[in-house]
Amino acid sequence: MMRSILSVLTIGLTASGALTAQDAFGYTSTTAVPFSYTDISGTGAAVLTGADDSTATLALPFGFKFYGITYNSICASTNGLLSFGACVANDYVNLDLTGQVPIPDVPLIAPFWMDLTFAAQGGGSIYYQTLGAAPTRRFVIQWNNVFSLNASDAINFQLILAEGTNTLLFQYLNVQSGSSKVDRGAGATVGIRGAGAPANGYRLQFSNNVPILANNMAIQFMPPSAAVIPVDVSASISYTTSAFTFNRPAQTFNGTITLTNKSALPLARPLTAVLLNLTPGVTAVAPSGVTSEGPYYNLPGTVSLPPGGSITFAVSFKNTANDRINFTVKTYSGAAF
Amino acid sequence: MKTIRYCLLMAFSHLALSAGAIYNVVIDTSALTTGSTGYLYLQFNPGLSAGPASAAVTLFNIAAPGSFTGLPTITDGDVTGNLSTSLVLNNTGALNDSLNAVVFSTMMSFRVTVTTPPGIATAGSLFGFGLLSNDQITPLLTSDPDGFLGTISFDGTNAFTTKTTSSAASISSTIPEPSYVIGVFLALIMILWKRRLPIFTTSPRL
Repeated sequence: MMRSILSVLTIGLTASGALTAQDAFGYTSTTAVPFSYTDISGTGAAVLTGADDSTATLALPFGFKFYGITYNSICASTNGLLSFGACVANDYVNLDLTGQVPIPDVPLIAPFWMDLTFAAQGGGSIYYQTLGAAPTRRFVIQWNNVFSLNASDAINFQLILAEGTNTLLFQYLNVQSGSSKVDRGAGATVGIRGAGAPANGYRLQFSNNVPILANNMAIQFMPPSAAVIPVDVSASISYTTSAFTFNRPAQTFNGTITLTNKSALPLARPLTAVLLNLTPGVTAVAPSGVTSEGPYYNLPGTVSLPPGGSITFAVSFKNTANDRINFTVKTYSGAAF
Repeated sequence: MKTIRYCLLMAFSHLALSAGAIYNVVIDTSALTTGSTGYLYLQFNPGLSAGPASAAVTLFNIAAPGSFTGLPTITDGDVTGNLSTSLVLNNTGALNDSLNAVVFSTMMSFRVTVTTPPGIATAGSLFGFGLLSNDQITPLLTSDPDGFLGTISFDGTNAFTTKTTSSAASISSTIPEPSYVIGVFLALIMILWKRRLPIFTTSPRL
């Protein structure tokens, strides 16, 4: 139990309330990432339907680099575990990644590793599907309606492997099973490890038998070279503006833009607003920067923007032709430009 | 009863007409040298995707010996009329403004009638007023960065806000607050209810 608690304590708590950590290889993890569950149960291919303590080897649509080695296939287990190179024997017993070694000693991805089964009434399958187009495809592996022994309700979660960035995203749609030994990961191992861990320090365990997960939660694991990619959250944002007053001494039009989180979930900082399709001839004065999409503004604040929360920022424009100032606002979350 | 019906009709009529707002503006120019010249600056600009709206400036008055200088009025955008009768600024362009050359005295005043668009938009518009020196740039009697002595604005829901940036300016609404109108309306309902009470008390109980 002490080891379990210590493994959690190695994870830091940021000012935004997000949990972050880093291992010896340089992998980092964070919960400061938007939850955007992509349900593929109606579109993906199914394996291990109704199975228990079984594995299936899935071909990856792109080479995925994990702890420095590129893999083209992955072993998926009914027990909420994935491995590269070989499947893990007797994986119905979850291990503590900070102190134990699987047999064989292979790289592991553990979104929710414990004794799970599809061989129960209402049990589902593992679904997998490739989304998007090269070079930014995503490979989704989803445990859909998987049960634990003595638990009344199914749990649902997924792993998303990203092409190019080689990031891993764990997403938890429902981790309430009706059993306190299972709920929120109380009996599961969550994290990743490379071969040779824990001796070489190549392990980043988020939790081990600790109920720390939550419904609608996401955890992202990033290799040392991967930058976090800002996520377009424009669909979760509504915006209004003030009038744009003309300042005669400066010959600028000044005003404010107010963004409101209209979704039911908090939006992770940092937040960035980009002005798209700005009226030709109108230029933004002193934005934070300019991308190919348009001028952008890094929005102040470190705490996640709660549902219904708003943020207002100032804008200024040069507009020598005095044309109506038009634009649309695109908002990004989770990483700075 | 006829009187009560009339009052109710008037109350509803007032509510129907309040899709805009009327304000009286007074500018105390006693801190300026009487006889000096400058400009009364008026501006009415929209926000993003604001619906059509206008601000009409009427009842302009300047205390003697103040007057217009006779120099032509300078305008940008959609501005029609003049201060002698009615000056109307529409929000069709990004910049709709008017510089009116005046000889200052101790006080000037005018009325602003703002007409708002129907429905909800991404933004509303703002009417701003100020005084400028003869260079047409330097603001007088205020340290507001935009040079305004005061503003009257409405947002995308047509909710109004007024603001003054100098003790020399005052803005007062000429229409009753909505809560007042509702209060009058409720009072009329109570009167009507009381008049009907005897009828209810004599009704047979079931």
